[in-house]
Amino acid sequence: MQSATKFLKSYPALAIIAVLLTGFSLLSPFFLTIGNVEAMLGANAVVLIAAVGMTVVFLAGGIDLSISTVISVSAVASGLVMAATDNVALGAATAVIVGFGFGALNGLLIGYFRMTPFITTMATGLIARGLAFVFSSGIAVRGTPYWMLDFGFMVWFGIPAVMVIALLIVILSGTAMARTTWGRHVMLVGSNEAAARFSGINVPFTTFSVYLFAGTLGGVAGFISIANLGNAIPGVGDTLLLIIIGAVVLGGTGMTGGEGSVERTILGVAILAMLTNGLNLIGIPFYDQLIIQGILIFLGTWMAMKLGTRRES
Amino acid sequence: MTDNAPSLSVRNLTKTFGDKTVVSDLAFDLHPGEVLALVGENGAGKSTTKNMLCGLLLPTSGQISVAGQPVERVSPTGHGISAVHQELSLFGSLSVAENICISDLPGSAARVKWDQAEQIAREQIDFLGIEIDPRALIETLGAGKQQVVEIAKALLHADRVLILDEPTTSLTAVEREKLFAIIDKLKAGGLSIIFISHFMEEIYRVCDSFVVLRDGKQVGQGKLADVSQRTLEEMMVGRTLEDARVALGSPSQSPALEVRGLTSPDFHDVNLTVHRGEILGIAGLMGAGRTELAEAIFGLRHATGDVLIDGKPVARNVTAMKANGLCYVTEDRRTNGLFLNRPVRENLSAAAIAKYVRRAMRGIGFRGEKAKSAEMVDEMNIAIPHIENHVSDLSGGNQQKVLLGRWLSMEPEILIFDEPTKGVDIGAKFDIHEAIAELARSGKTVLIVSSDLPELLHITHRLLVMRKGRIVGEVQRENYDSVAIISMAASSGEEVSNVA
Amino acid sequence: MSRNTIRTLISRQKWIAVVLATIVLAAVLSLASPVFLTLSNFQAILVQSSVTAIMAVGMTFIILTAGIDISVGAILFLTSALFAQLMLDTENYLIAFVVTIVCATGLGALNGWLVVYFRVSPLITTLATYSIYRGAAIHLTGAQNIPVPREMGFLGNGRILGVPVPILIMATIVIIGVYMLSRTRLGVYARAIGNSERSAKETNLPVGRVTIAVYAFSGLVTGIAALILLARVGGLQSGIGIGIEFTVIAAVILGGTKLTGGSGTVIGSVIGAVFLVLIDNGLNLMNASPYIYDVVRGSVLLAAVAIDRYSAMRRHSALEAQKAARMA
Repeated sequence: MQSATKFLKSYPALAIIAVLLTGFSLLSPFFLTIGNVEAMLGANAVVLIAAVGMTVVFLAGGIDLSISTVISVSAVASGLVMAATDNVALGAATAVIVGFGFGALNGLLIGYFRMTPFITTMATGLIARGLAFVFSSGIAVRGTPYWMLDFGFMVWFGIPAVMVIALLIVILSGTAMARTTWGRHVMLVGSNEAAARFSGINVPFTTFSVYLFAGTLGGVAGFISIANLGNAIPGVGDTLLLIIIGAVVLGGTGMTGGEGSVERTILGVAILAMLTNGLNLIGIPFYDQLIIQGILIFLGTWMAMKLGTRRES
Repeated sequence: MTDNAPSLSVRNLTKTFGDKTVVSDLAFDLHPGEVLALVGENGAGKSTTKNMLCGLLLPTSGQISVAGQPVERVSPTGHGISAVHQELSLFGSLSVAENICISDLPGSAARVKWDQAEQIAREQIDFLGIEIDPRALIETLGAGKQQVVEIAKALLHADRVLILDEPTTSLTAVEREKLFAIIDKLKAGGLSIIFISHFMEEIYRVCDSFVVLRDGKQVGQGKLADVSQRTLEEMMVGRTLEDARVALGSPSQSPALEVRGLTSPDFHDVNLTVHRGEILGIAGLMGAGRTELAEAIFGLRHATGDVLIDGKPVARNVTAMKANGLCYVTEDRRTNGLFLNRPVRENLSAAAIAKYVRRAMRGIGFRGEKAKSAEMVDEMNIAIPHIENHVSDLSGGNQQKVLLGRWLSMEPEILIFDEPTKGVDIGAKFDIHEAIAELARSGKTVLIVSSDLPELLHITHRLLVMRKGRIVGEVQRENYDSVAIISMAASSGEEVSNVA
Repeated sequence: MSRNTIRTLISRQKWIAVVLATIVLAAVLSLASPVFLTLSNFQAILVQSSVTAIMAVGMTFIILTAGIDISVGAILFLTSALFAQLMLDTENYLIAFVVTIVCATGLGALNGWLVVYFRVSPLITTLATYSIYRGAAIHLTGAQNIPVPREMGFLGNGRILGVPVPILIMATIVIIGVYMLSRTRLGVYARAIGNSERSAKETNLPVGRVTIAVYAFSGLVTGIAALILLARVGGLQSGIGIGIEFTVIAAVILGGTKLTGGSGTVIGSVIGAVFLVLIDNGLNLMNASPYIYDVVRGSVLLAAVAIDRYSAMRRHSALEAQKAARMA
């Protein structure tokens, strides 16, 4: 009993999930059907992938406001390439390269040139958004290859293919964070940058690498968004920033750096996914969902802060 | 300040946090014009006492009387008691006048009278006899002038008692003398002062009386003229300090670390050689460039020149230095040393994760880290329930041990210590000295930078004296003479002060 | 004035840099287009910048305390919705004005209160209220576009003594902002808190009340901006306020206010806002695609921050060189 309390204390997100799960399955018989669960999983792969990138940046003590519109611009670039060549692999590569490019730019400016993450990524985010609209002339890119459309509906091992990819990314990133020197360095830089430098950790490179990592995942998420939506949409990322950051903090990864984990972010994404899906099922209009979502993100973060691993130094 | 009532009187003053009693049963009087030294080891309750006396904390029980009148809770404006805390509470991008007057701005909330504020600030600064422009921004002033502004700010309300908490730690010798002159002046004006300091010489220089705290209890009080420094120190530690002699081994003749012509904006053309098994000290005043030199040798700062280990030049970056068995233990463990919100395990392995690791797969896995960390915890005698505890949960002494453990676990051949006993209790200080001596006896090479001259005289084979970025002298142990070393360290223009 | 004097001036008063940039850009634009240098175009530019400039005055105070408010766009939208809805329901200007302004202030104050009492970072807090306020606005109006009465146009397009009303309102708020920052306790305290919250607490400054006050003030001026915006566009539209928080923050940063708090000026932020409109104006003259605007804004912001960073590095290495010269 005591250990269960302790477990809940370190993962307050689980309590929220339990409440949502019980509540919605009572309110809507449809909530826990296979079809609905699959839909929920499929629809949230993009957010999960991007949120993993954001988590790593948070763990290093930074923030990446550009990740949402990097999703847009890489989706558009990928969509245009696929429309022109009908080659999905080329499209995937384009998305990853565009994301990588924005990540590298952020990383160079923040890691090596020591600019403030907030403003830097706000500015590159604006650029990414503008480019997405310029390249696409502001409309959905037409000519998505059929395979991409199928891919959006594929199910592997009972899980939508896009979510399988997202989960693979979580597992790989989680392993990298917990079990490689790079991951350890990211945590230590986030915990105390000066101490990391004094311990001989290459702080500029580590900082550079987390933005590169986040940007690249933004690119992957952009590609996946085409499979989900059927088209590359230039505005796809515009509304995602809140959800991505919300998922990370609800999971229990704080903005102070060095505390949290990639796995926790699954919980945050799950909360927001269930919330949207459940509220849709019981017929709550989207604007009321915005209100509930905002309250939940705030209270969830507060709870995680109060109960979670964080403590006063 | 009327008749003979003490300006501040304390009886049975007690403070508990939860079930922990931090300060118990303090009782002393402070008369107008008296300077009282509040001394004790770290954690003895000095800060808590200070905070109760200036109103930041409410006493659990006991009585504080100001000018004969008992008060519930001290307020700076109401009772004329104000404190200058160890960490300055100034605002860098605000002007001197704004800083001095901030807690009681002239004019109304909707219309601050800045000309009046500047006038007040100017008067305060003039009174202290230092040249500072009231319109200058704090961040453009040096540490000494900032300290003066902080005192001016406190004095605006302190017409009875001024509490100074370690006011000299960031001052140069000249600035320190100026501060003492200010204290003398305030004292002559009838102000009572409580002076908290680690430096015994300073205490004997400026104070009249003393109160010694140990484990939250008042273990001694009286006139400083009646007690020797040794007696006072023994009261603080609570045991007789035997004339602890560390056994220094004899160094070999083979050079382990050589520095050739190292130059940076903070120091110029530094050459030095440390032999295997030797403990070399670098003495000097605050601002002489010692820490900068140590950091540059380790590759943390830009500099030109060469560093040789075992006769071979080594690229001056931390990775190469670590690979060649050199490590540097920082003076500022909270800012530059520890990862407070990470477990002890990760703090111990931070500099040498590769040394701990047996990979399960190529590049993945940290097998052996736990065992090795646990081993270090045992070896360093770190008191924690579990290696997964956060470092922020540990006491200062244990934190210092974790930092030391991090570097010792690399099994370094050469160690550079920067202020190894800063903020450490006298008891723990002896342990650290013994540990350093043992390292040298076992053939390691040690370079120590310290502001604590007695410490350097105590545990080094040889001393280099640094002044304004240059090595100005070298003294062998058999010729150690503190007065000579101090005059070497203080530059020609500066008057020699009590460099502790 | 020698180059060095200008340099020292800029390093002391960062907002002068944006003034110079604005003058240069204006000069270039006046060469490119004959209509640029007319009084009416000048007025049009100021009218166009009025909404962001007014909001930037409020945001400056928040950023000075080392805070941030991402929800200002949502406050703008919610107060617009509230006003439009009230006008529709009551047709009473007085009630609509008073309720709107009081609510705008309250929404800002709520942000401040949440930041102070829950100690969740301002970014997360206002990101959450962004969602809440936006949702509440749509809830209120049922996602309808609501026109406002014609007479409202006076606030957007009217003139008093030949000066457009939005410019008058903007000027008033700027003057109040400048006064508040330099002459009131609130202004000094805000800068002090942004400098060091620890010191501010040790000095017994009313940190909580000041924090709430700056967020409330930002809410208040955002409410006023909402009225001007409604008047100018003729009614409530669903896109109001989306992304404007970034423009407002960009204006403040371009104006030389440090995101880490403690130092900055109201004037700088306002000129930053005008500068951003000038860029739009220039792009407009060039018949550029409307989608390129974000790219240019982002690049300008990036360049400004990079230049600031570069000059800080230059200053640092110049100091180091001086030190080395003294040493040798």
